[in-house]
Amino acid sequence: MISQTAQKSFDSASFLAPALPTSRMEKAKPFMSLPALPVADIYEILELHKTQKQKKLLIDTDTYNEVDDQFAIVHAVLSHEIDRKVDLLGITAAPFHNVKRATKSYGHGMELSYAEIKRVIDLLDTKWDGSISLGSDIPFAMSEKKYVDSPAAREICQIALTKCSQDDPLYIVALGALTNVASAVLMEPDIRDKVVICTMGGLALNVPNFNDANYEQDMEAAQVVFASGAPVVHFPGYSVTDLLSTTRWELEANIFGLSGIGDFLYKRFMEYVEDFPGSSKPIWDLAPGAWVMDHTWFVSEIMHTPILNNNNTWSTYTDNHPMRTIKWLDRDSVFRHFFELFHIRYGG
Amino acid sequence: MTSDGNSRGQIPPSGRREKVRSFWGLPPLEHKSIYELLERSKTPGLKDVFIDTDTYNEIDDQFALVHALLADKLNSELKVIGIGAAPFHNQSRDTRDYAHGMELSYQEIQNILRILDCGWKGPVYKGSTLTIDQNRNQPISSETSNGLCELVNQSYSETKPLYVLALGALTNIASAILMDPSIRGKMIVCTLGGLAADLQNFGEFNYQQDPASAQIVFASGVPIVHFAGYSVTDMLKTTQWELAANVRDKGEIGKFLYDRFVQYVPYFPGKSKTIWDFAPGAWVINPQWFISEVVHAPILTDDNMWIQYTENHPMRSIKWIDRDPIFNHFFLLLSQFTA
Repeated sequence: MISQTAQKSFDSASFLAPALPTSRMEKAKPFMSLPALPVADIYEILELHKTQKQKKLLIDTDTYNEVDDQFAIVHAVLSHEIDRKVDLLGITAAPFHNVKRATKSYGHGMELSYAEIKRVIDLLDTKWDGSISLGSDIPFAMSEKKYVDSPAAREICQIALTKCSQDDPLYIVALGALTNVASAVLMEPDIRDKVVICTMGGLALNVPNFNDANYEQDMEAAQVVFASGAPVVHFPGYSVTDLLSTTRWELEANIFGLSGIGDFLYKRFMEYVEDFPGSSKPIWDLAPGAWVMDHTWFVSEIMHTPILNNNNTWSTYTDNHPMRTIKWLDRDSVFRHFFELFHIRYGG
Repeated sequence: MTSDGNSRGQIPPSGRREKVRSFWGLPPLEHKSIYELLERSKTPGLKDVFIDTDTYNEIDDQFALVHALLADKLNSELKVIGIGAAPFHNQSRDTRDYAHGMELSYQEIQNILRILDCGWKGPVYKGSTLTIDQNRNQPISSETSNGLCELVNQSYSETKPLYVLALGALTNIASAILMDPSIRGKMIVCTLGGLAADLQNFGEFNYQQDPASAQIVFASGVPIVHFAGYSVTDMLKTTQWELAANVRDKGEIGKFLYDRFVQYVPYFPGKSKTIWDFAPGAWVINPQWFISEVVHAPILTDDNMWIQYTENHPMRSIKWIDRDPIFNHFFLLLSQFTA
């Protein structure tokens, strides 16, 4: 079928060819049926980081799922304390369920992450006293409501609404499944122009040859975040953030033996990573926080937000609202910053 | 409304334009035979390689050369048929001109063969002493370009192509192609250099050294496997720490490679260095370590950018590399050889 307007404008063109239906289709449920946002505002917020000095930060992390979240928390707390590139306001625990970690449920994974956050903060021996919140204990698919209520989702709304604005948004570094963040967006759609969701996960658009745990843990939540209109900076896994690889040798040379936290990070790495000549491991989760600290370490692209399909592939969608996607990062600058902060605080 | 085209105005002109000078003006090749060779490059099996290397320009060619020679000697995963020295000119190596860079590379190849002492007996050729740019787009006759033509014509065919690992500027290879265009159907050029098609934000050395030669290779129709620099082969990073653990104490050759690395790479916490040149040889050894895509060969501009050109002949472009198996393979060969 062809709409009246389309038919009319087509007829008024000066072609002699018979008018054909254009088959143009408007996007189904733009912004997830949430109130529409001016796309120019979204674009503006996606450009803001280039002129901001210090950024407000919240980390949503499935800390115990793997061994890279721990590095990201340490990096953020050290930057908060030492060079103040970020003002870390809170840390929230994200759900995960992973055979490798012998979790009984998503709630169990979240509890383990919460405990791991506390452990890392204790070992850091820091004066940092921001909030640490429990997160969702189920993914969207298991919820009877449209979202999952949790202290984490409430904390995100609370911080965004009371401490942040369109000119000074909350950078949410989302390192796991997007359950907490998507719930916050649905509970208070007004936060959308007061946050920038820096989400680690999913595939690069041009290399679909991989699996990815973060979005597949809660696909609906990821779909909400990408469709909601909240400004998104997307950090894909393979072919982008896997540039952040390190080895036991580099960690031995730079953090091992430096206070409890250095030994702890090294131990976590060694427990988790299979040891063979040439073995390395990406510290994926360093990426979003590092981008918030210094975007010049990254190459990115603004594009029309693609549609996230149920099988974790992307469909491009021209004219959809803008998002930023990371294309490349300068590994050495990120690790240099991390190690130098570490050395300032703990010697070495 | 456009006024040219069909004078009756009933069929609008399509604006379609045919490619200017397809195949660089060389005899045209069938796209399907190029495609067939690009597919063949993915199949396992023993492959013969010729290595064209600006060895002394940097410190990664040395690793690539040792890797290929050891994979030949210990595992028979490929067969190194010959080595050619590629020209380069680089302030950081104090070269006086391209010929000087080529001579230094030639010496470095000999250096490595002497230190490695693995019994390899193939030919080592000197390469071009100037660039095709300097030679007004005309081929340059050299031991390497002549030797390459001879080797390909004597022993290779469409069903058994020679894999040319091109680790530097493409002067020698473009010259060989212009001197004897018939070699195009009997070899596959695995070229390391240039930018990824979707990421223009970097400078790059290899193609900028001799832009004309790179333009010739990409336009000529010779089957190409393209290994872009940043965002693709920069996955192949290592650190002095990893090399201290896996290379430094592995015989004289291990010490040589380690010393080259630490002399070249300035140190700061978090410093790593890409061993770019590992990529093409690793592809020949095991294509499963890579993700690639066949695309219409884009056009390389004078300033080293790409123009997409739909319907141009096909080439293979590498998208992603599994770093760890490659380093693992190299470290194990080195251990085995020096045990």
